[in-house]
Amino acid sequence: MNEKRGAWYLLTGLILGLFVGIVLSRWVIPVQYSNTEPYSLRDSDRKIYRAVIAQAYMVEADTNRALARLALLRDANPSEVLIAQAQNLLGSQDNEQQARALALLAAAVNQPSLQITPLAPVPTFLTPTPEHLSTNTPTVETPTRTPAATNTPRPTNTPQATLGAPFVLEEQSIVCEPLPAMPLLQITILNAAGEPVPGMKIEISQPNGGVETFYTGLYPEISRGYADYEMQPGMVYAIRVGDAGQLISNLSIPACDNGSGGSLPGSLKLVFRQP
Amino acid sequence: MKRTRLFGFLFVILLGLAAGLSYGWILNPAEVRNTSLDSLRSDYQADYVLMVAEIFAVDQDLPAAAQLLKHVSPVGPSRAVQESLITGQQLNYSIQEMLTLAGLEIAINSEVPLLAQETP
Repeated sequence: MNEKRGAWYLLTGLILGLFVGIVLSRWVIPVQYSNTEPYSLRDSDRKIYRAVIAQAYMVEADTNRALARLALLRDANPSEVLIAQAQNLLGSQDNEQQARALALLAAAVNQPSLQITPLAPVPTFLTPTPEHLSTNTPTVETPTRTPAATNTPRPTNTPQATLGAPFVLEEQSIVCEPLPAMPLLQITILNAAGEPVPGMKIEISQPNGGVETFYTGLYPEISRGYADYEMQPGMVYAIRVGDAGQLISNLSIPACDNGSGGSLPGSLKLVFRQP
Repeated sequence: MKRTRLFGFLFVILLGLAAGLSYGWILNPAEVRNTSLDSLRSDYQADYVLMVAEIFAVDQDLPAAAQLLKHVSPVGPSRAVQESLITGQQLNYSIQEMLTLAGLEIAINSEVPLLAQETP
């Protein structure tokens, strides 16, 4: 009876071994990668990498270098990813600086000619002697030199220009046609050339306290320099674009005629421009 | 005969196992993704550490810098900077960059922020 089974048991064993082997190699003990590139980083580490690039950009003010570093992550839409990350950080007061750095880097992505003023490093007591460096360098295993590193742009010590003149209100209008579904403060920010500016910080405050911050660039389908804020009935707002922009106060929901003598809430459209 | 069949069965299981492992590890390994910062190539790690050092040079926030460095070197932040100094030398980092890295290394080793003093 047993002899009639033939060699099928061999095939069964082979399939069983193959199955176990594939499961082990794919999921249980997969290949451990080393010498990887930034684009392969998991999401959490990509966020860290991005934040470090942005903060270093604030220090170096070297746009080309920051963009080259950012390109290593191969994000499909770097500007949007940066803005989204900045928005997520805004809930925490401690991360305000980091959010600003990310937004500024997002602006640099869309406007590579952007020049910012670098943050001044705190002077140290170190003197630039190569001997000092060599004595402080311990002997450890020599890392592999890879050609890609030579592509990393080096910083230049050229003086940087300032961010530019503060934005001023160019246009303020009430939007009733079409009647908005919700009353919005619709803000568009343009540079001196009339181009939309993404990643620009907008602060909105209320007389009874409370300041919220948001950034342009989250709605690229409308405009890269567009941002909006939902106004609440009975509230009066003041907004400022950038850190030194013109303060626009007494902003509230405008009334739109509903055609039968009554009124409905409309939206406010504000256009800021760099002189 | 029964014994022969058993050995044959075990042999083909091992054969299949070897084939499966070869497929998963060599022929069609898992896609390179979801890697961590500590698996980055040394030049990228050095550049990351340099960025951290530059940030530290401005904010003097040593705990924050150490936290960022732990991502690239679980052994310790000091080791990360040391390796970056070596990589930086090999890749011809500028003197200013090497000094920035050295400043961070000194701060980590002394565990106190560097005092801000004007260089004469």
